[in-house]
Amino acid sequence: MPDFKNTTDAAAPARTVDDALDFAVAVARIAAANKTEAVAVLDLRGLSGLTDFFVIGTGTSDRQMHAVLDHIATHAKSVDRRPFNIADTRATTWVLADYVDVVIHIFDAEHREYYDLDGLWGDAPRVKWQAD
Amino acid sequence: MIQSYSYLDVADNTGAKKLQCIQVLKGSSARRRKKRLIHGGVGDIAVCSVKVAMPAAEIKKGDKIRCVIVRTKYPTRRPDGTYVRFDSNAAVIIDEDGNPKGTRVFGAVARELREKNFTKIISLAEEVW
Repeated sequence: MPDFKNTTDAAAPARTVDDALDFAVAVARIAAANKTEAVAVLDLRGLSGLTDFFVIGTGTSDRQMHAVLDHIATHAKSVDRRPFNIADTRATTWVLADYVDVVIHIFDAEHREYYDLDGLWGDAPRVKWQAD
Repeated sequence: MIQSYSYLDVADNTGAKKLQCIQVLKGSSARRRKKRLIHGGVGDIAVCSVKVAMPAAEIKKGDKIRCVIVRTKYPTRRPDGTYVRFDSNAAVIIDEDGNPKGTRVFGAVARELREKNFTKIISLAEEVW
C-alpha cells in the first residue's frame, strides 16, 4: 500500500515574512561588505506577485559580482535556503539569484541605470538597514 | 501554441510591435518524426522576424531576433489542474544572453516564466498571472 502522505510540506521549514526580511537584510549586508555599491532593499509585499523583497546592488566587476553571489549562496545554505534559480550568464551585466521570497539583482553601473528597477518599483518602501 | 508563421505581439518597449515566428527553439513536438511541427508555449524561446516596428526604433522591420513567449491564447495547464490563457500571443525580445532588450514589460505575464529561469523578465513586468 503506497503511502500517500505528503512529506514535502513537513520537510520544508515554515518561513514567515520576518524570516524573509531578515534574509534580505543579511544579503544586503553581505553585498555591501563585498564592495557592492548602492545596495537597496525594496519591500514589495502587496505590490508584486513575484516576491516579497528585492535586493538591488551595483557590482564593480564580473569577478566581484560572482564573488558576491557565492558569499550569498554560502549564507543561504547556512540558514537552510536554496535558490529557486540563478541567472548567471557569461556576460555579467545583470546577475540574479532567486530565493523565492527574496530576489537579488546585481547589475553593472550602466545596466542598473538602463533597467532602472529602483524607478520601476519606486512605490515600494525601502527597508532601512545598516552595514556591519 | 506558437509555431512557425505564427504572429505575436511584442510586450516590451523595444519599439517592435509585431513578430512572425520563424522557428521555436525549445518546445514540444506534436509528432516527433516531423520536427517542423514543433510548437512552443509560455517560456519557450523563438526566433522571429520583426514585421511591424515603430519608426526610429532600435529594432527595424525585417530584423531577425530571439524572443521569449510570455503569453499564449492556448491554455497552459498548471500542476494544480487550473489553466491560464491570455487574450493574445505575446513575446519579449531578448539578447543572446537571455537578458531582455527592453526595459519594461507590458501586460500580465505567466508565472511559468520563473520556472524557466526568466525571472529577469518577470522582474520588469507590471503584473504576474
